[in-house]
Amino acid sequence: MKNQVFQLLLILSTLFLFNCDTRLDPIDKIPKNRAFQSVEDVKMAYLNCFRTAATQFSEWSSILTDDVRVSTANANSKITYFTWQYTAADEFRWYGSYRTIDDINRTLQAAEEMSDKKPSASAELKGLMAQLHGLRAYAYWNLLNGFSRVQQPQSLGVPLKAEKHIDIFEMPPRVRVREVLDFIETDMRIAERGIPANVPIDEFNRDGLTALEARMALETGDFKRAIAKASELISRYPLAGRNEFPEVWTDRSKAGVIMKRTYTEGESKIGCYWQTIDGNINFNPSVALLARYADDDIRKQVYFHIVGTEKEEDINQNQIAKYPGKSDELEYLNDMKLVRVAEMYFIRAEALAKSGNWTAAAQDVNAIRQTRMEHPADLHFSSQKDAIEKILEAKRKEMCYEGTRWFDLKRNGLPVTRGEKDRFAQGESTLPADDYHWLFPVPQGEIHVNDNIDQGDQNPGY
Amino acid sequence: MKYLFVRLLIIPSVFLSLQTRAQQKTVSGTVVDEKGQPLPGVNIVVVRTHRGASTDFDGRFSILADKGENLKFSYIGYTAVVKPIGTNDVINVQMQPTAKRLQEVVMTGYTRSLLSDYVGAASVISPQAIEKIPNVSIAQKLQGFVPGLLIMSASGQPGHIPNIWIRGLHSIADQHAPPLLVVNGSPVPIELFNTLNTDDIENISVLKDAASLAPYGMRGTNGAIVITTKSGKGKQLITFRSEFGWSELGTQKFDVMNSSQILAFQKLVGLGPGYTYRDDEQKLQALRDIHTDWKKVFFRRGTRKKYSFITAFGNEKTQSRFSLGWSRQDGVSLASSYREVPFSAHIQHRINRFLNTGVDLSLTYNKTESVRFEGVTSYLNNFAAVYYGLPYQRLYRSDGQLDIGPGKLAAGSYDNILNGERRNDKHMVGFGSAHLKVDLRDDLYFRVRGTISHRGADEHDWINPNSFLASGTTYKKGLISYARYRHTELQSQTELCFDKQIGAAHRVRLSAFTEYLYGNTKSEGFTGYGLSAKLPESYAAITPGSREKGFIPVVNGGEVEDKLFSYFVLGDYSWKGKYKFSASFRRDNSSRLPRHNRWASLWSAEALWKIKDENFLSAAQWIDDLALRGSYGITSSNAAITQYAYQDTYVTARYKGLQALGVGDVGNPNLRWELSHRANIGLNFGFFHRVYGELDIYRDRISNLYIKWLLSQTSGFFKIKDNQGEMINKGLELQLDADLIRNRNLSWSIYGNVAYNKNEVTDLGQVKEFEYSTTIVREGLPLDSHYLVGWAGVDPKDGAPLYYDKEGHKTKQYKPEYRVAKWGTSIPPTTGGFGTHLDLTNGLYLHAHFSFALDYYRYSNRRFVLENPRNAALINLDGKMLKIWQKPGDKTDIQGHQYDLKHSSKFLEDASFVRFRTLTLGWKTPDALTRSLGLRGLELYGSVQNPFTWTGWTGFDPEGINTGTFNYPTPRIFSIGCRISF
Repeated sequence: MKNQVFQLLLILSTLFLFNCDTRLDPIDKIPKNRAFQSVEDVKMAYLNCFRTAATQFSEWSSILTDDVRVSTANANSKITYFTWQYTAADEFRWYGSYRTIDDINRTLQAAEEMSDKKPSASAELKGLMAQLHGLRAYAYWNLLNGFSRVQQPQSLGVPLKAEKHIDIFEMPPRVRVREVLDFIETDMRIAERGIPANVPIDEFNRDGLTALEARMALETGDFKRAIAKASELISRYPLAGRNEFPEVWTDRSKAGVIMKRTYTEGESKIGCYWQTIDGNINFNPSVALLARYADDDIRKQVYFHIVGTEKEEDINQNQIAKYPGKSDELEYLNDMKLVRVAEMYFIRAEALAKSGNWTAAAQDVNAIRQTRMEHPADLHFSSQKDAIEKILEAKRKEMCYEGTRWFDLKRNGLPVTRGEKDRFAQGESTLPADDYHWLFPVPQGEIHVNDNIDQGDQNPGY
Repeated sequence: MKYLFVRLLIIPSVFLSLQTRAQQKTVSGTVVDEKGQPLPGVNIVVVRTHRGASTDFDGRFSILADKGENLKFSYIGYTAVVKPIGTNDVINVQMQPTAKRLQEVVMTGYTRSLLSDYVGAASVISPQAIEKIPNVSIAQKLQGFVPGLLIMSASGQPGHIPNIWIRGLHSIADQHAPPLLVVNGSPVPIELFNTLNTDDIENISVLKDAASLAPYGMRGTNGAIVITTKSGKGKQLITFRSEFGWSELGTQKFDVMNSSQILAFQKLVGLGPGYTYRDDEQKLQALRDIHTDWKKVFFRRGTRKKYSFITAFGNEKTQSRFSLGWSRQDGVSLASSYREVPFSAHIQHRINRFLNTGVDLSLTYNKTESVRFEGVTSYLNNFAAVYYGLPYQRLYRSDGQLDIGPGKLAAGSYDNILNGERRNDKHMVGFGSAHLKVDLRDDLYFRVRGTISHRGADEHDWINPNSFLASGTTYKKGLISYARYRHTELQSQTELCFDKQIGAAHRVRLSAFTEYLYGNTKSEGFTGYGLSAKLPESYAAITPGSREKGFIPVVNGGEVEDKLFSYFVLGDYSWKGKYKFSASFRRDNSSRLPRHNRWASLWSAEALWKIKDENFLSAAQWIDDLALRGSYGITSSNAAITQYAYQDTYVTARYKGLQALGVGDVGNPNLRWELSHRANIGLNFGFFHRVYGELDIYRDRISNLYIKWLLSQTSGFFKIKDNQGEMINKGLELQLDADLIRNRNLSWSIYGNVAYNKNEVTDLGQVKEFEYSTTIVREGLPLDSHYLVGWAGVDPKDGAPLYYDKEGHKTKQYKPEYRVAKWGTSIPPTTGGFGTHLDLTNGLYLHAHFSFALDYYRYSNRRFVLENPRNAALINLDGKMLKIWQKPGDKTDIQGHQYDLKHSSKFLEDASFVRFRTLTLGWKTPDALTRSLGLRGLELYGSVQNPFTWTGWTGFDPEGINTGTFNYPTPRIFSIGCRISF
């Protein structure tokens, strides 16, 4: 009997022989405590922030304005945007902006902790922190300019999230435009002090920051500052010459480019915003835009592939060729030019015109014409209205598909008017200047969840 | 483990001495069945003792007993016989079968019990019923046989694995998780389960309530299907089965336009060549004269062949069974086929009086060639391309080349099949299990079992550098990729079980278990570009690529692990077989949960009252069976919770070729187990020796459901997951079998089952609802309720679409807030099946089987695409679009083309269906004929599957989940087959 009990106990003990420790760490993901261990890690996180924050409204700006028309081959691609039928269910980089702002905030927080622990933190870490502040200013500016009227400081801006207190459950309200602008201003000041001089063209560099200031100043009506900042860059960056110009668009030359976001194989292709990779054209360049180029304008050859502008069949085959790809193998894959010096000429011209100095404004526009055309005739402005009209016209010819057109019209209170041959049978062809669609809708999902943003805080009309 | 085995080897020698023996006389004899054939395996006990024996393969037995004692002979499926021992030393017994329905046995993987005596809620499918359904996988065969077991095939792709649900859905996050699938006590992957050979199956038990699922704990939340395979009996038996069949597309319920129609339509809406050439009559006429029938291009009659070969043998010591099969199925669409080679071996061996061992091995190799992008709107999906195909486009140019180019979608899709892409997936799925059982005493055994299961996939894809597809930039200069995926699970289980009959009245069974499971999922693969055309389908064709020119090959891979540990006890007590009680307790631990929430404690308790055995019913001869049972218990699940989801993690990225680092996931440190609280009351009944059935009522409350917790998007995240949800499934299940005629010439029976499951989401934590495109999960409604703006027709004045606003008034404005959830759900609440068996004594038989699903609605995305006038530039449209509104006064349901088409209730359809699933006519040759042919069995049969489906759904196939978008329809299959045994 004793033996039997002993045997039983032995067997019972075998029941528990197996390892019952079930702790496991991820294999392919980095646990939080291993993410930021060195300045090198902050650098890597910063690169990721730049990758996602460095963007512009190239696609929307063209589709929402008069630079494209719908091709007959378009099978309902982005028609909702083209005909301004978007609602709060459509996304306008609200989430995307905050995703990147959160990345910046988390990286800044880690960098600050690192720098607090070692007050004599390396110059590299300080530089990275300055760039992160600059990037955050850039991200907030793009967001604010889409969802708010930056000219009206007391109107609703966007919610603010900073690195001090990262809480995924926080529900921040939309604050006034003034408050967001101040926030951006603070970030820019920190950036200005700390961004090293040797930051490459495809990261957040000093000149990119200066360009951002110029843009902001023009939008918010600080013409003096716009002129100063634009001049600073114009004096240091020559415009791309006629020979270099085509190479700029295949990324072989960086003449006139101040800051860009490099795209490598496997990433999205800017050229495919308007046509599919298989060559199905969704949007043609608008006939109205094509008609504005003189035949000796190099941009006509570089920016477009034109089959014809008369017959409908031809028009439907015209293609936007501003982003042809870096090589035959990398068709449509190009770097995104975030800032080019040419834009600074137009910023300065508009700021000068709005300050009453039309003559100087005309000089800036003519400077561009002289480098782009073989036999340019100089333009002259007869009034402020005439100046603005001609500057925007010239700017559109230079900057089309680079994300500025929508904001140029919005800032100047101008409607979108599409030409005869650019109209779409099944939708509106004009967006009046007072239409509510000029402000993007706060996503329905945000209003639904966020206790501090209700339908009353939505942009009017949606 | 090593330590354990050493120990086990010592045990038997010790326990030898424990056996006691009295001096009694030996009684022997033979037990035969109703036909006089020997009956092996009959259990014989000396009543009121624990002496027992069983009959051998010739039905013989011998047992030690005293005069005056009683011998009880029992065998499952037969009425027990009690014989007193007199002076005679020889006792021969003939046993009579109990009614067929009362013979059914539930095998839970742990216990074996008559269905009519089983304390839990379970259903049993007779393998004879599903054997008569040739040429499809086992999951498809089970459709409609068990109340509450819902099997929905979303695709007709041969080899496709359907969704399987038992008593509705038990998770919001993981809606497609299959039930636990168990073969001979070991959990197996669904891919393997699906390839089991029905000829090998002895029993299929479907477990549904807390009582039956308690032993499976954290893996049993979605129910379980337990399969026990046959083992060899008697002399060598060889069975060969051969099936041949062909499949074709079912009936299509919509039409697309012809050439003149679509051209005229294009002109009307200002798109495509019909508009571009509106003034060029000659060009238009040339186009109108082309009539390409794209259905002839893409569809075909698919053949199916299947062979299987089984050999079985068994004696008292060893039983073995081997099975090998081969099958090939070609789909009804081009580029769709399936090949399979399943193999299984099952060996049981009794080493000595104390040691039993057994090995199970199953291995399946299959190769699938499948339609690319099935179920999406891409033109590379054959089922989309065939309707997208513009009839005025040609397949071939006059020079004999395929007419491909931009805008020529159908020809491009065809070119892709022909020249573009070679894709195949190879799977190797297997499991091996070995167990050792030590009979320590008559009433105590110890068992240890180890199982390895493995699921491996090799996926190959090659895009011809010279094809149309490769002319676009993504696949420019071709692509070749290889991906490998492996999921390995190691499981060990130890069991100590005490099982004793105490006196005549009491039977006690107590078992203790520990279980440990380790799972590892690993994948790796690469994709190379810029292929050399001279090396088709070769990895050597890959160029190394460069940053300037691109074509850099992509390499990827990943690995996750899982650990589960549990221990549990099960206890049963039965008094005279009349009252049964059982209970269980278990603790589960999972690596997916944060340390402080890792353990779950679960329990169950259940009882059965065999009313029929009460004295007051003994006179009621018309009652064959009457039993009432009830159970309550909790099961848990971690299946919905992804590995490591409780912690914040970072991932690497790249920018301009440099390493970058970003947030991957934000974790939730408060994750817990999902718990199902299950209550069930059931009644088993049998009356008049004709009608048998079970009725069950249940309520499953699933709490701590893992759902999304919405965040303000300003946090940088849309949501995290948290255990905030609660859902209730309540329902009623009824199974009825009736023998209508049972005489010398024929037996005719009918059967039917129906299950009603009311699913209701009762709590969603922070929110009352969340939306998924056209559906909503909302408190008070079933899961996956449709959420749409009501369609109110078209205004004849201006052709504008009309919708219903919140108050039910017609409006021209479409607003997302007008969406309502009164459109039903895409998970059918009422399901079931019915059918009939007719058997003639001359061996002819007929079996018809139907299944149905009611109150079930699906959203037709196919219509949304084919009824959108703006798509007319690129694709053909539904013929009904010709009735589009054109001028004031037109009364139609198709809005004017100037209006944007919106998702609305217009495209929601009642997908309830009754499907005639199988009709089989067969002939089992009579014994005399079979013997004269020198065979032991011969059966010939022919069958048709899915001959008719009654439904209001205009898509391809009413069966499926939620949105219907150019899915692969279930085909109609004609088969003939034969089975020969010798």
